[in-house]
Amino acid sequence: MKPPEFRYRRAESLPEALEVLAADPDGTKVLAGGQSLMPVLGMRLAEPEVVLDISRIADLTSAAATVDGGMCYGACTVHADVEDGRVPDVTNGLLPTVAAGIGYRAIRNRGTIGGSLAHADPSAEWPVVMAALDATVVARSATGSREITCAALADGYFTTVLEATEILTEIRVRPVPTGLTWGFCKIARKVGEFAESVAVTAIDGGTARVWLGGAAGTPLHLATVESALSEGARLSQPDVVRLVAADLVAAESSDADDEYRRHLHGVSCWRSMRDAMERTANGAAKEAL
Amino acid sequence: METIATPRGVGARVQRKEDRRHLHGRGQFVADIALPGMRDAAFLRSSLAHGRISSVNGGGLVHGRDLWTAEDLEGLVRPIVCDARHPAFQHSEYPVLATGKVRFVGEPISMAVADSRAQAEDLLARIDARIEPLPVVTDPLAALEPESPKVHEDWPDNRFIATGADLGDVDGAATEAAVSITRYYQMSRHSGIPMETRGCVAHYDQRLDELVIYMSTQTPHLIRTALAPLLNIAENRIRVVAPDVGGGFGIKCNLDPEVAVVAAVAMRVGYPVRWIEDRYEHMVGAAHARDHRYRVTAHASATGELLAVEADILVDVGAYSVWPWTAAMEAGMSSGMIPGPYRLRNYRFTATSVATNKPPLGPYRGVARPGACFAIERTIDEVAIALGMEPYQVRLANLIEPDQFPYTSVTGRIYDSGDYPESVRRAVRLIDHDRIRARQRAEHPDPDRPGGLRIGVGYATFTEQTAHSTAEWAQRGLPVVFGFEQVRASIDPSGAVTLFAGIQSHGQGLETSLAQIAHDVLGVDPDSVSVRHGDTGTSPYGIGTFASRSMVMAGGATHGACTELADKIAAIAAGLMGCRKDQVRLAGGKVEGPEGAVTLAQVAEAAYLRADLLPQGVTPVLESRCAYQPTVETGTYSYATHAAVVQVDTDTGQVALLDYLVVEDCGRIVNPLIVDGQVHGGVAQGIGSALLEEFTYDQDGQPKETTFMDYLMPGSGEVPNIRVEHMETLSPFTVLGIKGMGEGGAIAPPAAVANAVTDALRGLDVAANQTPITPARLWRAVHSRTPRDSRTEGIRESAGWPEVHR
Repeated sequence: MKPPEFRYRRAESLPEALEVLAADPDGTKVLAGGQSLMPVLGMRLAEPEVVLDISRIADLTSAAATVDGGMCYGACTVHADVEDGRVPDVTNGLLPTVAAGIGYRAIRNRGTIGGSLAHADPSAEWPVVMAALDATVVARSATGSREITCAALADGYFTTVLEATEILTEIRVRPVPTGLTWGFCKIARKVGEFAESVAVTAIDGGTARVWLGGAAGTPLHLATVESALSEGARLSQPDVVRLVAADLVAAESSDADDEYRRHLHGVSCWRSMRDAMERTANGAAKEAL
Repeated sequence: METIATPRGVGARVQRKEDRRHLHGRGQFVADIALPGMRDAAFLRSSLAHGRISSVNGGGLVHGRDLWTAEDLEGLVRPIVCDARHPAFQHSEYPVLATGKVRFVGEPISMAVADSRAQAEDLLARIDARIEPLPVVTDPLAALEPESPKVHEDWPDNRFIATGADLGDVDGAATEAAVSITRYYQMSRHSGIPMETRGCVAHYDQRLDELVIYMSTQTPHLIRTALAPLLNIAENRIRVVAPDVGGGFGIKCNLDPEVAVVAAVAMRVGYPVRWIEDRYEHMVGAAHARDHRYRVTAHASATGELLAVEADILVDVGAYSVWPWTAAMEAGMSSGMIPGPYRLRNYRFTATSVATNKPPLGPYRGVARPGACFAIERTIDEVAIALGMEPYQVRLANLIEPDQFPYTSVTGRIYDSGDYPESVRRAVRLIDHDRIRARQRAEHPDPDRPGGLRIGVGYATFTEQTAHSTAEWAQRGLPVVFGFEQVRASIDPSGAVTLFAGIQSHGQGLETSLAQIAHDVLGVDPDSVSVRHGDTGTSPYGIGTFASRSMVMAGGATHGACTELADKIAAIAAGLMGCRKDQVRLAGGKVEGPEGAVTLAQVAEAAYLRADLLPQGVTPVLESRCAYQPTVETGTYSYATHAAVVQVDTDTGQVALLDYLVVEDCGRIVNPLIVDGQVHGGVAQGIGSALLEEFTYDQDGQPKETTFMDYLMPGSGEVPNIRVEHMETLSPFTVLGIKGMGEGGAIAPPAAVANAVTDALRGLDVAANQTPITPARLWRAVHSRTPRDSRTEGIRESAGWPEVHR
């Protein structure tokens, strides 16, 4: 489990990184926190010519407010920065809550948001959470840049719409509107593991958004559940399990055929909704005080 | 002569001497050893579970330098043979590199050597091993069917061995029973996962004409003994050194084929060769453990008295017989320990060890007993449920009473001492049993409807056979019999004490606890005692550290050697002070007489450098050696009751541990800090067995868990605060009354947790009969209401249970 020989390039600036990448896009792997790439190299699942380290580029570790009151996080912002509040949060606590449950502390100290989104593990937290938040990423190449919605970033297991010449450089998170409450549920075999099922619910007055991770190659938008919830139906856990099953069939998820996994996704969605409801109730109670 | 116990001796909470170097990162493990010119090895491992090797093409690599194949090693190293001395045992060979056939995914085929491990792995990619696939057998029950592919072609079938016995009058007792139940149990395949993987560095010392092997092992002398005939050299030409060893748990008690290859090659090349196992190799290539299946029938009276037990034990031992344990170890030991701590007189068993296309089984903390404990302790609870009793009451109705010791079990083991029922009573009290029952009534208004959270409490009581010696190992038919342990105690001319021990300490803190014993006898500060172990070049022959034996065995030998030394010190000191020998006592590094004292240094000076001062008849030199073996050879028996409180989420199948309690008795506690640490570590591993750890294979014999992504270990999030309560009943059979205790923590958790889960689901009439209790397994059982007497998933409905001719 030792990588084969490769050339290591540490870029000091984004233009330098983009230039190195442009020189050999297919033979280069971009290294950020290394929490996924290093094992992949060790197991020789990837044998790049060049490993391009972008973790020291200052632009990619900074965070800045956007004009709409949102946040723009450099791609190399580590999970622990979010967990500990070293970067501002505009999601009313969702991002720090999610970050605190990723892997173990040692992983959170190195693993990056951009790396997680670009790696596109369907069981990881950031892809599904950022999709639910309607966040976007900026992808840059030597010849230009474009903005991609997180909902459209992944296009299969461990694959994204990013071009080989592109580096994911920033993540733009909109401020959550006043009145929006979120709920989050991650079900994993043990603390720090990848999710068996991970669900995010956002409720804003009469509309709801429900996203599910770990059930298919990409995060799933659960339209059936969402419309039932938006219509104000009082949903029980069995209701949600049934509705999620319908969404899984529609999405052609392989978990649709597995009684346990199908049920588990229903439970995680229901719990994320319950979490959201409880937060709404708590918020109302606080206001009443 | 008299000695005085102090706060530094036996029973004292002395901090481990070895922690100083480990906490400062100054330990030295095999991978820290760098010898000039050293090269690194990597093994090409089989990607097929069963196949015939048609050719191994080196792709231009130089044979005998870059590449070593089975052919290149011909005449240099023999295959490992580990046949049990039993007429029914099938002979087999474990080639150090696959020869003719491969029999499991991960079996070493060739070794590449290069300047670095990465480069050696590069070379592996150039080797073209052509293997013609053969039908694969992974299900041990299917392996027993007549048309099954055979793992070893010259055998009549895939049984390594099958034995059985009919003790007492099972059929007679069964007719008296108020209730007879049959249950199936399964403890799935998993293994010890030490932080430090296996590994070795070997080089040939031309000056001494000696092969030196630094190796991460628990048994350096045994490795020397095993390697000598394989390499066809005398033992005095091999030195095995175990430096710091980062966890063993039994996995480092075996003669590894990889080490034999590295050793053979190092004898031929002019440079040291190193192999450091990586985690993938450990998961596919190191010995595995457990993989037990049971069918147990219990016959009980209306008051819960166990009248008779029948047990069919089936162990999937994988492809090979591992030296020195043999493929019979798991099933044999399990059959002996099923009767557990109970007054059972009627017992019938079969014990079948089956070969399949999987890695071979070796010892792992608890060895066979976690499975046996799981089977009998789950059965006790099932009897209680059938009779409507509290499970702890059934235990109390059957446990051996304190006045019955020494008690010879129905399988001939001599239990030495203790108060087994008291361990149960204390556990019931300390876990707050009645409060849990009240909570269940309050919190589970609809116990027979799934959904929501349930809490449950479960117990497991066991005896732990420890420090078993000659009679036990001889009866098991091992190629070697582990009777004794040796310690040489030496006082040098400066008066400093060194213990040279044949055991090996890899986390047990023996450098501290042996020094505590020396302190009690010689009156020297334990910190000043140097304990040397793990090196065949410096220590007297010893067996090693396994079977919870080191404190009993090496502790006894330390006591014996130091006692002999103390006698000589007293004689010399009395001579120096002009008093009688029986007037002196050893304390504080001095020897005190009626008037004044002499220091140990003065005594040592006389013994070595001023022989003119020695009393008449006293020989020079302060050194003694003791080979210790307890008086009763079937071992000394620690025991414990574990209690677990769990919360089961019936919507997800997840189990959380809310509380965990151990009430244990390991006789004389030499160092309470170390004992607690051993219990904690064992329980953590037992929780892994109960809930997380599992190696599974698809029908082609491909392993599904090869990284920590899939093979889940318990972490701080899964292990609750473990409460430990001690009892201290001395063993009448050992020096100081010490009993072994290293493994016990790992034995009971699968049973205790499964009993707690079953208790939580009592209203649903579902039982946890297979470990690990994964969320998917548990959820499916809950939602399909799997009957409690169903077969487990590894025991197919269609499969007949193997016949054994007694």
